[in-house]
Amino acid sequence: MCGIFGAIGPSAESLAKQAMVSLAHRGPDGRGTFFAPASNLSLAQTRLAIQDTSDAAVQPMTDAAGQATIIFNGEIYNFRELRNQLSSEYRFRSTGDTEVLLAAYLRWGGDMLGKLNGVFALAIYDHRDRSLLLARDGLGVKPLYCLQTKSHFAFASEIKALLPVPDFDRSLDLQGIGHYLTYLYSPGHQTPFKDVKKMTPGHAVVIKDGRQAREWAFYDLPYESEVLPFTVKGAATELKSRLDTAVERQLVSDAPVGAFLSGGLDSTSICALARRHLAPGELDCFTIDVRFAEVGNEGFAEDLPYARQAAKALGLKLHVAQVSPDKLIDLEKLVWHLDEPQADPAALNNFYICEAARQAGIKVMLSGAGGDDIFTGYRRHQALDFERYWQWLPSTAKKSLSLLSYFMPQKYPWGRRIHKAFRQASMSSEERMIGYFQWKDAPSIQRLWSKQIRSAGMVPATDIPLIEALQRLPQGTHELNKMLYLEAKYFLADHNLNYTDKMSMAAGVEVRVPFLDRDLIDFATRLPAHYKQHGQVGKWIFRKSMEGIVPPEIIHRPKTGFGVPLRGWMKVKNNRIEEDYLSRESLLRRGLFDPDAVHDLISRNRAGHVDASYVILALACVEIWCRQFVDAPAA
Amino acid sequence: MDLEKFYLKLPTFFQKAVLQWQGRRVREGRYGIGFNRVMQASLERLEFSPGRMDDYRASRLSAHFKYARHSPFWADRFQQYSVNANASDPFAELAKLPILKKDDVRRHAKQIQNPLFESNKLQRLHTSGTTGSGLVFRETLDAESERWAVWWRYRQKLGINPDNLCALFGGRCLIPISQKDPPYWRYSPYTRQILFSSQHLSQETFRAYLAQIELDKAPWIHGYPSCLGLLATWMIEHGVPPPPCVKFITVGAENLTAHAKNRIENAFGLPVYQHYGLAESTANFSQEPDGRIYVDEDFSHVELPLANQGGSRQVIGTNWHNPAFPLFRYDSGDLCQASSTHIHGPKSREVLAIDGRLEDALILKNGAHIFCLNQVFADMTNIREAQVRQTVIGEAEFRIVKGSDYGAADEAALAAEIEKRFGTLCDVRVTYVDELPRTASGKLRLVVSGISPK
Repeated sequence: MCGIFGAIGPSAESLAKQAMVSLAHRGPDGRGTFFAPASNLSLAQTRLAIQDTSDAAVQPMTDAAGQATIIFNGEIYNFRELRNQLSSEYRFRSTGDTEVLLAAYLRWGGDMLGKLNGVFALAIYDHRDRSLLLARDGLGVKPLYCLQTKSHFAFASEIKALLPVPDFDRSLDLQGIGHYLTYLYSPGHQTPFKDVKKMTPGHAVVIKDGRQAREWAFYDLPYESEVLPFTVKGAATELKSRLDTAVERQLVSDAPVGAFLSGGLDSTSICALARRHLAPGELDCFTIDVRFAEVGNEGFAEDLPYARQAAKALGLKLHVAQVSPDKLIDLEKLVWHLDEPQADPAALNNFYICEAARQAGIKVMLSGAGGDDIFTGYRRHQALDFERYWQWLPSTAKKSLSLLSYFMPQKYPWGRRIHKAFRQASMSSEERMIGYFQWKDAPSIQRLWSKQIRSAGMVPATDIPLIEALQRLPQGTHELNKMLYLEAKYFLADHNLNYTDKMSMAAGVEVRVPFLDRDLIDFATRLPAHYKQHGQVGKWIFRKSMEGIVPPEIIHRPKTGFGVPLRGWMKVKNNRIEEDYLSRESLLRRGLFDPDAVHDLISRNRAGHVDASYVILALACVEIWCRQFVDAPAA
Repeated sequence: MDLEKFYLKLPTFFQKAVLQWQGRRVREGRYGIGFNRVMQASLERLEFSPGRMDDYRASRLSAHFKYARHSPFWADRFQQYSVNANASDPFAELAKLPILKKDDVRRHAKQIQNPLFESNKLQRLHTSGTTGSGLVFRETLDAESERWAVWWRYRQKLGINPDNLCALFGGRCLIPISQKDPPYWRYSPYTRQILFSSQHLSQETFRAYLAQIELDKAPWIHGYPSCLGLLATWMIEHGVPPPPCVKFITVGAENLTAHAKNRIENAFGLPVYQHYGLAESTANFSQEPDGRIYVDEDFSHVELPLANQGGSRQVIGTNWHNPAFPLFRYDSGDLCQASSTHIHGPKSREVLAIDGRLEDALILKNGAHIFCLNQVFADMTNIREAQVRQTVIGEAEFRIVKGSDYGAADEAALAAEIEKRFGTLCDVRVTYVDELPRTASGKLRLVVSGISPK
């Protein structure tokens, strides 16, 4: 894993040098730049050496004939097989995956992207026609941002590396900001900056003469495929086999490998399978111990006893990162590392676990991320089971429930869930589907915008990417598969994977995600919906497949969130949030939100009339992000 | 119980009702909720770049290997031939496997059936068994949709759309054979078809068929080439013009002989188009509007190894759309001639001729196998139908149905053609008959041989 940056324009060369500083945390093992005067193009890379840690694999890398130069962040799990295919016509000088990508590009051009099984963000400059290919893996595991200004085109692994680009108009994208308040992340290509776009996962672009010449999709989640009538036994066997293969593939590393172990089904399964491919004592596991009792655990069951139980059953060494609760609400650190105003302090859990791993000499960590998004596991997947009841109800009854929802107490989890269910009762099934992903409904968010924005009619819609995604799915797609499509396309890519990458890279660790192996996803999308969510039991077939591999008490352990008791914290008067980030002066100066509406929301949240802790945190994160990214000087 | 016999005994009203019900069932199965999605994807694949097509093909084959390892038959074979279902170059793995013969499939059908799937949720399918006993197997809904999508893709390119009423001349017995008067057809509104009885088509009745096509304004005729060839012969012999509403003629299921093609095109004044496909979904060839035939490279993996010195190639295929009954390197028993064997992109291999079946060979005294026998009759416009029968090597009977203008000149021309092609290497006896027998599914076979091909 690495940090990558590139620019085309008059200042390209100096920008590359600056980028290596801002991306230093992503690549503590080396750095390098490349400059093509003919195109005014520069490439820069900071390196976390995982495969072929020798100097032969240093980036930017140019082939012997000087035809193409590559910078690449990620891992290609099938690089050995590709290398075998290419070795008759390409003489390799290194043993890692970067040169395989270069050779594959020279052999197949942009078509090579479809042959890759791995996670990546890459850029290849083709000296022959002076074009630049940019691509991001199909699931969006590796980040890539692009910026077009009047004088420059630039791209980077993180937004902060783009800040010095000349002519960068740092205007905000209101729709993007609206997304962070509504979902806590921005689904799709938008960022808080109008001119910075996320590269869509599974997409590639070719830049020529400083402008985009071509864009195409080389991968999309295959939910358009037919669901196959697997037998239960067959499906469980095949699932186990594919996950095992994925884990084995992702153990390929020239650096030590560790694993997250929360004691939940996903991480325990990954550890159990990885252990079978390694020598005893070769896999260390890591978890976190936060003393939630000090602030109330808010329904987040403590993982530590389960993690200990799983480690003992599997014979693995468990390292525990001890973290005090206050470290988990270090918002400035959170926002800076996340690069986006994502209001989820759970991201910091990842950072502290990775930090502990790095201190133990581990550079690569296997994670159970993606299991819930592919095989189900969230409460909204259970809630979907009640969809038919809404369809049976007459519209007047649904409208009444919707009105009633405003009187539901939201102090406790059950109250919040019923409130949300009732509020969405009168919506169309598509709106309801999208509503499951929203932390607050559109009218509530709209009230928060400043009077200037509202009176200018600039209040943005926030559900467009999700609606468009649903429309791409073929008629007859099962409701659960629709939700899982949105889950993987947005919640996973733009939220979970973003914070997983950014937080682990901040600690100098690469996180790998076997659940997002392409073969496993192909299989999972073809499973009947009731094999995934079986009544109220999530991951039903996955649980079956892990029988005999994972201890039964872990298999049947109820799902708990990977988070922090934010609501409890927000009820206590939080001086910094109220008196600084969301103070009346601060809000007026920024001009985005209405101070009266924001403070009213904070009061009602504290009184337990509404559940708005995450939205309030999102408002604070937007302000912090603006201070760090908008107000900061260019260099 | 023989359902067809039972159907034929029903009063006409109930027969119509049965056909309506069957039509609806067929439409829901064949063009069910997933069909549009499959069709759309099938059309999009036509635009794939060569590289993208390579990736698509590799991913399909790779997925097929992974599902197939659950089939006891393939699990054994994969182990025996060291096939790795997870390998990144699935074509290299495929090459390790031996050719799969039809007899192997028939013998091991139960072991090939993939227990990964619930069989009661799969479609049941049977091949017609033109050259032997039929094969019964199962397929997924998507496998059926993929087959129909590739056929509709070819039809849509010709200008035919699913709303066009189709006059279908198939092999099914739809009208009791004892019925002497029209109608010799039934309607299937759910599948937009008029189902014409091939068994009742004769010199006396063919005008009624044409009149009905005109009355219903059917723009599209589809059927067995032997059946449409006969219809065309009578139209030419009796000077009957084609119904003006007919805009498209397509044939399938049988080999389209040059003789039949000439006849149909002359009678209707329209080009006749064909596709080649199998129920086993191991290969499909489609004809383009310009008349060229290409292998549908996205539909299955087709290998075309040389079968003989005459340039004919075997059609060997892998049905990656049907994981329920996986077939790797399945020898269809058919032969063709192709421009190239290199696969690179959607239209990389042109099929120059579909020669028919491996069994469709005449074996000479010197052991040589002669294919493409339809060429013997290609220019014989006064021959209505022909069939070659062989039970002894180096001897053959040519059974001929004469056209109304058949005379001594035709007889001499046929003799000269036989002499030219076979000389003394085959003793040919020409026999004139009134009609030629069809197979149980109504197909006319060009060669009926009692000798196994080498």
